[in-house]
Amino acid sequence: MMKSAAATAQAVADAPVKGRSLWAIAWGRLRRDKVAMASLIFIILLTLAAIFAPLITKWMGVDPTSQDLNVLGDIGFPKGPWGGVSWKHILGVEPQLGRDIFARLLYGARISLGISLSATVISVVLGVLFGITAGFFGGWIDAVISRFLDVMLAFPVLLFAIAVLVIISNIPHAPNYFRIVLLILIIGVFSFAYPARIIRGQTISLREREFVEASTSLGAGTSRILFSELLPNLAAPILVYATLIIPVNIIFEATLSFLGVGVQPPTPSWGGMLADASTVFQADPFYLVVPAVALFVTVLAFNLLGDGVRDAFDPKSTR
Amino acid sequence: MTKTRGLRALVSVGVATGVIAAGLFGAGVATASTRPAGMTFNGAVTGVENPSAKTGGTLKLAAIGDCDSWDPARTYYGYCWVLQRIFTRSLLAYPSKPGVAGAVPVPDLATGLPKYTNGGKTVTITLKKGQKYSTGAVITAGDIKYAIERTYSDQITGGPVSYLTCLLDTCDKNGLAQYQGPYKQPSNQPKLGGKPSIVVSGNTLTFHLASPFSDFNNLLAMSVTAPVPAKNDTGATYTNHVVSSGPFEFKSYNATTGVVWVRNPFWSQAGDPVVHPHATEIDLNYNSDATATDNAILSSQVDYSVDGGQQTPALLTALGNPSIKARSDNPVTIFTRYVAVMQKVAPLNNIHCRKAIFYAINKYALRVIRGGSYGGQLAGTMMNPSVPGSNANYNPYPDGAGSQGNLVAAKAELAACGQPNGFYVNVAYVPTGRGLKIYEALQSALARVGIHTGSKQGVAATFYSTFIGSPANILKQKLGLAVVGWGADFPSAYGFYQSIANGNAILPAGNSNYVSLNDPKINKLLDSFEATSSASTQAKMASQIDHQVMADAVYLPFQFDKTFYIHTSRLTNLYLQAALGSYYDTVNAGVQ
Repeated sequence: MMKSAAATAQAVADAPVKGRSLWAIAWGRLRRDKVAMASLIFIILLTLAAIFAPLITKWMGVDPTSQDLNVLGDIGFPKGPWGGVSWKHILGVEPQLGRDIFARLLYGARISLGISLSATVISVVLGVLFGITAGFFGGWIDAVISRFLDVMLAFPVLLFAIAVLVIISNIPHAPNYFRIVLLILIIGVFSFAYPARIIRGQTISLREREFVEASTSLGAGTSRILFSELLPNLAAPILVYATLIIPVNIIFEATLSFLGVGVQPPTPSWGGMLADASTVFQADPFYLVVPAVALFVTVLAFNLLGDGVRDAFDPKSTR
Repeated sequence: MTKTRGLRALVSVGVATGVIAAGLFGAGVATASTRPAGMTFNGAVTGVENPSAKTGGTLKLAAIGDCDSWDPARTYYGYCWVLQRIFTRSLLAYPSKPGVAGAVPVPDLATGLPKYTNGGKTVTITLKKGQKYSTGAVITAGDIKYAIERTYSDQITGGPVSYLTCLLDTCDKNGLAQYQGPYKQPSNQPKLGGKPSIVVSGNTLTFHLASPFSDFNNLLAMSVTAPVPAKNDTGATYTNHVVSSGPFEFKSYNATTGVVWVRNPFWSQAGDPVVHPHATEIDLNYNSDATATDNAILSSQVDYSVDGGQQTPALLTALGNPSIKARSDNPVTIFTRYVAVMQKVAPLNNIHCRKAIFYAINKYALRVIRGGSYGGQLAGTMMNPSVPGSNANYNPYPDGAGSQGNLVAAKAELAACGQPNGFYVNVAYVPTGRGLKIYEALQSALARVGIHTGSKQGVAATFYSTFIGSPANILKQKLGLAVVGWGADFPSAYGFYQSIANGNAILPAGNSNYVSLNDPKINKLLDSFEATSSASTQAKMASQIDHQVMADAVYLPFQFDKTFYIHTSRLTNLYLQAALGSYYDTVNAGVQ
């Protein structure tokens, strides 16, 4: 008895202490945050559902374009309560067209997530490029870039986006994917100013640190300093703000689709479904509730995850 | 402590949600009112609602947008012809009566019906004395001659002028008249065989026709023949200040916001046997938001829409609320709704590819979008039941179970045209109101057999004039299909088919023969139709024309339109003018 206790104590004293990296520490903290984990799981499930939308809908026997008119009454409103919910149509059918809402929601998720995630990538890449450059070099480079960012932040983005997309509509042969690429570019370009400023601030505070001085005295060139020294240390704030920009971009895309200048029907989109449902709200309220709840929960999940990630990297940061 | 706070918070949230929900859902109930006296569902279809001799008041009306033109010779929208009765009169007019009684022209500016002599080629008619314009000038027979002469000018386009063109002037083999109109040739006039075809003597007009035209009375009832004072005519811009010959005149006109009409002080009831105006002012406001107009009518802020009925959500409200249903009407109109299948655009140049579309279409789905059984009567043939000689039961392309399409036959036709896996075709449409949903439904139906559609959106202002109304544009943009509606210009097979099916009616712009149909069999039947005076022969010819048009597989009908109108309960003397498309005859309407 005494021998094993002593042996255990000795074993504990002899074992080397393993250091943990910033990422491991942050992940540990994130895992303990139940709300953030729940949001993360929801987002992963939603993304998988969006990616595998064709398989899922085929397995369920529905698709986003076929019309099931037998479920509609004579003047086009779903016969059952709750907008025509049944075992086949688990979220009901659209009034007048009779298309399955669940299938359209999944395919709409592809558009919402696909466009906003792509736009976020552009936004983050541009934000990092401009932010690091402005923060590291300072001087007139910083002055020019900062004024440019001020202009971008002051721009009436929604009006500009609507104007550009309406012009695109009038081009006779513009295909749908051209429109999607343009949407991604517009959303991405008009939201990079915010992370750029954050990154610039972080870079300014980092460039005075000793490890940068050490690198310079060792003869490291500018690009090595930027990419090998500063960037890894900026990864944390970049990740945090990327996660927080995503819901902003989702809402932006949904707004454009709601106004009719986003992806064009019959391509399903959550904003388009909201616009359509709002005209028949009094006759079929469930049709409005479904995309509204989907949008709300998705944006909430990204926001909660973003908060959780920020707390995980720096629990002292104030809300 | 925490529990009580939490409970109180929960209760207040619950109450707030309840209040908000009640407010949202209560808005729909607020429109319920006491049953309007004297009004019943479909009351304006078969009779006159709330007949009353009371005058005064302002009608508040709505439309989606402006008429194609207010110039009486340049308008082709059905509802605009009814609105023309507000401020123009012609020699003859359709009586202010509902149903078939309102479909035969009676004297308006004329002293009596015209006299036909010389085998129907000479028409004599006399103008009433002392009728005046809103300017105070007297209406003369010369003004009517002038009104017809100006239709020969290339500035006066867009109206149903082609009926008169070669009837009153010498045309070449391409259907082009020699007379160029009074602007280019002020000392000339329409001539047949070198002799003037319109002769004015005092108040009497004599028309010499190139050939007998048994529907000539209907032509004299069109606003095309309404008098225009030459000194006020400004050609293409006359639409901005039309001089009135009717009971109302323009007080203000703005192409984006609307029109205000007030009484024409120089019009007198004693000289007008056709219309009986009651209101003193008519306000027509344009609102492109059809849902907003529907809600305004439900809450009685707007009396009715002049250009069509209400949309499905309003229809649903009316069906569920007896007092609103009592102030609604659901007439079958003169319009057939169909898909124009452009035979000049590949692969639709092959008749079997066209027939594949005829079998694959889902007529039931399209009708659901337009209001189901309240929106239309499913159709198998083009000719509308309002046309004498029509057979609404004829259907050479059986629709399949539930009228949702015959996919087996469609696939067989695809194989026959060499496209067994389907093909790609563009659809032209205007994405406002139901247009987008109709496109999506059409797309969904055709996709079932592999026919994929591309979206070609047009705008309402130019859709019929230069988008699908230009054969060159159809080829350039490869517009394969268009969903359109058509009503006879006057109740006869010639009035229904001439502009859309005769090869000689193809125009470079403002064309109604969208598919460029040029079938010699049809051309011959139509060209000889008006020379036939026997009604039974005409009925047989009507049937032959209809069958041949359907055999050519260029026009795919899916319903005969019904419109669902809701109107306010304060209206008097309200009825639907059936001959002109079942719109409310605004000129007669009054308010309590």
